[in-house]
Amino acid sequence: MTILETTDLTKMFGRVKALDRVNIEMKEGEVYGFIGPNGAGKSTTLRVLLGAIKATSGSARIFGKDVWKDAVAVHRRIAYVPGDVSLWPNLTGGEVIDLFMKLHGTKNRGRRSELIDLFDLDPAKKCGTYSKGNRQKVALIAAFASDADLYIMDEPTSGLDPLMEKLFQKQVLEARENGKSVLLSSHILSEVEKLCDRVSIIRQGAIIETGSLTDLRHLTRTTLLLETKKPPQGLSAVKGVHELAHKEGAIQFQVDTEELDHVMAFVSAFGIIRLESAPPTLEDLFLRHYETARPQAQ
Amino acid sequence: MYQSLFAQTGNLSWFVIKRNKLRFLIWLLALTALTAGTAASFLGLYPSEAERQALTTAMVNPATTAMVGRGYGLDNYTFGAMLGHQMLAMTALTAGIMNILFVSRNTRGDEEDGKTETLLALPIGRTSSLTSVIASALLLNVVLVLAMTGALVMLDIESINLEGALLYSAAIGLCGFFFAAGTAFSAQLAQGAKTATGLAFGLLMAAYTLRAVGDVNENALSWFSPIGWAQRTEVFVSNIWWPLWLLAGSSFLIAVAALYINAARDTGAGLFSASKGRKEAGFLLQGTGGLIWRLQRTGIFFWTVAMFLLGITYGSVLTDTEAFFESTNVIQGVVSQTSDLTLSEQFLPVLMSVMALIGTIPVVMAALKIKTEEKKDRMQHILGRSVSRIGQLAHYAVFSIALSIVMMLATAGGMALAMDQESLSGSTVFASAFLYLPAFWVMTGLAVLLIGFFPKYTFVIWLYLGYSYIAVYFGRIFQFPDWVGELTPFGWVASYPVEEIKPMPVIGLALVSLVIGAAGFFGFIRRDTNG
Ligand SMILES: Nc1ncnc2c1ncn2[C@@H]1O[C@H](COP(=O)(O)OP(=O)(O)OP(=O)(O)O)[C@@H](O)[C@H]1O
Ligand SMILES: [Mg+2]
Repeated sequence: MTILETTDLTKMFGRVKALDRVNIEMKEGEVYGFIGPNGAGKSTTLRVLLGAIKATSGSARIFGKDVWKDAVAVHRRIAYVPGDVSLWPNLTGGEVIDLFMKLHGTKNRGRRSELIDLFDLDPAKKCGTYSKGNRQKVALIAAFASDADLYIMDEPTSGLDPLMEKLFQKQVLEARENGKSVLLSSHILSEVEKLCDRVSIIRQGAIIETGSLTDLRHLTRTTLLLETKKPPQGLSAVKGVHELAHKEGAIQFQVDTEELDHVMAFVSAFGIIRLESAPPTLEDLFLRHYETARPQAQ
Repeated sequence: MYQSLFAQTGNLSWFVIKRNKLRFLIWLLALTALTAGTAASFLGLYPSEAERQALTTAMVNPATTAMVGRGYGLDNYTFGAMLGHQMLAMTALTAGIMNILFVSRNTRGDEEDGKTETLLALPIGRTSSLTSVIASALLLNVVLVLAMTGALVMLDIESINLEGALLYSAAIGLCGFFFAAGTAFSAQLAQGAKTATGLAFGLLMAAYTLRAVGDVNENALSWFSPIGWAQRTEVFVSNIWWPLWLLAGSSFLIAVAALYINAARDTGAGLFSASKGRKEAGFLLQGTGGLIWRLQRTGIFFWTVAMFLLGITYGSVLTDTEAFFESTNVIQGVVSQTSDLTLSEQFLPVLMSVMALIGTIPVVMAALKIKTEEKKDRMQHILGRSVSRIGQLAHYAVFSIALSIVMMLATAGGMALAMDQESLSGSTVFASAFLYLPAFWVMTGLAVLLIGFFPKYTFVIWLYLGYSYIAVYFGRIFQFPDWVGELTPFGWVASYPVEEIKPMPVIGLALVSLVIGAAGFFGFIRRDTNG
C-alpha cells in the first residue's frame, strides 16, 4: 500500500527552483532513503511533506491526505525530526520530550524512560547546556517514543557519535519490524546501505535515480584492466564504455554493469592476454552523482 | 596582552556598525527630530514671555515633577529652561532604551545564536567582540550628541546657544552610554539575552524612578540616578558641566568591569550559571499554552509588578498634587475651574494614556514571540505535531489579549490603592484604564497581521508604538492637529472622566482589531513557515 506519494512536486523560492518535479512513492513498511549533495533539496522536500512550506505545483499526499490542507490529520500519525534541532534554552530535555509527546497525543511513559536510558540522556539538564548531539537525541527520543506510522527524519544521525548512530539504526530497524515506515535523508552511504529498502538520489532539486539498492548496483560501473593480442580498435565507441586510458601497455576503462556482457563479447575477439576487474561500489555511483552536480551548480 | 585581548577590535567595530546602520539611522533621526521638533513647537505655543511664565504655574506640581523632573530657572522660564526641564529626562530615557536594545542584541543575542563563537575562532582578542560593541555604542552616542547639538543650534533660539545645546545633548548622549555600559555589564552576569535585557531595563526603570521619587520629595535619592545627574546640569540656565564627569566616569568604570568579567568567563556562560531542572514536564507544561506561559512567565511577572508600582507611584503623586494645589491656591489657569471634576480626575486621562502606552509593550511582545520561535527554528516542533497553524497563532493572540487585561488591572489596581478615594474613586480609575483595552487589541491585531503577511517587518509595530507615544503624549501638550492623534488607536480612546464614554470608538477599535487580526490569520495559514 502506498503511504506517501508526491507527483511532480515543484517548489520555487522566488526565482530559484529548489525542487523540480519530484516524484516519490513510498510503500507501507518501507525504509526510504533520500540522498544527495548539499543544497540538493532534501530538507526542502521534507519540509513540503511536513506542510511547513507550500509546493508551488504538483501534489504531495501522506496516508492519502494532502500534506498542506490536512496537515494536522497527517501529523497525528507521523513523527518528524528536523535537521538542525534547536530547543528552548530554559527548558530541560525531559520537559521538552514530554511536551513533544503531549503535542503529538502520545502517552507512553515506559517507552520514554526506556529510550532515555538507551540513548544515555540526562533529562534534568537545561537544553541550553546540551551539545548538538544531545539536542538531536531529545528530538529522536521524542520521535521514537511517539506512536507514529511514519517517521520523517532529516539527517537524523548528524552530530551523533558512532555508538549512538548504531542505537539509532537499531531503532529504525525495530520500527520497520513493527510495520512502521521511515523516510530519512542522509549523506552517509553506509547508513543508507544498512537501513534503506529503497533510495532516491536527488540533485539540484530533481530526482535522478530511484530504486532498491540492488537496482542501483546495476547502475554502477566495473573498472577493467585489459591487455589484448591485437589492439582493441573501436572499443571507445562501444556502448557502456567510459574513461578509457592507456596504462603500462594495457588499457584501463570502466563499463556500465548492465553492458558488461556485450563489452566482453566485443573484446574477446581481440584475444585477451590479461583481464583484471575491480568490483563495482555504490560509493562510486554516489561520488559520480555528487561530482557532476558541481560544474552545473556553479 | 593588548593583542590577546583586543586584536581586531577596529575591524569588528566597523562590522557591528555596518550590520546596524539602518537601526542607528532610525534612532538618530527619531531622537534628533524629537528634540528639535519639541524646541521648535515651543516657539509657536508660547510666543510671549507672559505665556511662558504662566506655564510655570502649570508645570510645577508633584505630578509633573515626578514625570519630567524638578523645575529650575523658573523666574525667567526661557525656551531653553523649558526644554531642559520638560524634555531632558524623557529624551535621556529614550536614549537609554536605544542603547540597551543595541548592546543586548549585539552581545548576548549574538552569543546565543552562536555567532560570537564563530568570531572567536578568528584571530581576534578575547574581549574584542564586546569592546567593539561598546566602541560602536560610544560612536553612536557621539553622533547623536553632534546631531542634536547641530539641530538645536540651527533653530537659532536666543536662550538655546551653542554651549547649552552641547551640554544638553552631551548629557543625553552620556546617559545613553551609561546604559550601554550597564547592558554590557548585565550581559556578563546573566545567561541568556532575555535576562540580560531584563536586568538592563530594570536598571533604567530604577534610574528613572529614583529620580522621580527624589525630585518629588526633594531629597538625595535623585543623586543615585544617572538621569538625576544629567538634570543637575541645569542646562540652558546655569550650564553646570561637572555632573557630566560623574556620568562619564561611572560609565567608564562599568564598561571596564564588563570587559574584565568578559575576559574571565567562558563564552556562553554567565556568572550565574544554569541550574539543573526537572526530569519531567510539570502539569502546566502540557501544550502550546503551557509552553507560552513557561517561556514568558518571568517577563509577565516583572511587567505586572512594574505596572503595579507605576500605578502606585502615579496614584500617590496625584494625591500629593491634590494637596499641593489645595495649599497654594494656584489652581487658576492650570485646570478648568468650571468643571465639577476634582483635580485628580482631570489629571487622570494624561497619566492613564502614558501608563497604557507603557503597558502595550509587553502585550505586543507577547504576540510577537511567535515570530521569535519561528526565527529560532523552534516552531517546526510544534506545527510538525498535531497543532494547527490557526491554533498556534490563536494561542499567542489570546495570550496577548489576556495580558492586556492583566496589565491594566495591575496599573489601575496600584493607582486605586494609592489614591485618596475622595478625590478619585476606584471605579473611575478602572473605567478609565479599561477604556484602553480596545486600543491594546488593535496593537495585538496589527502584530498578528504583520506575522501573517510580513514576518520580516514586525519591527514596524515598534515604530508605530513610538509614533503613538509622540502623538498621544506630546499631542496633548503641543496641541498637534487632530489627524495626528487619529492615526493611532490610542488617540481614539475617550479621556474619561474629562470626556464621557462614547460607545462608537470602543466598538470601532474592537472591530478594527478583529478585522486586521483575522486578515493576519488568513495570511499565516497560507504562507511558508521558516522553521
Ligand atoms: N527559505 C528559502 N529561501 C530561499 N532559498 C531556499 C530556502 N530554503 C532552501 N533554499 C534553497 O533551496 C535549495 C535546497 O536546499 P535544501 O535545504 O533543501 O538542501 P539540502 O539537500 O537539505 O542540503 P543539505 O545537505 O546541505 O542539508 C538550496 O539551494 C537552498 O539555498
Ligand atoms: Mg538539509
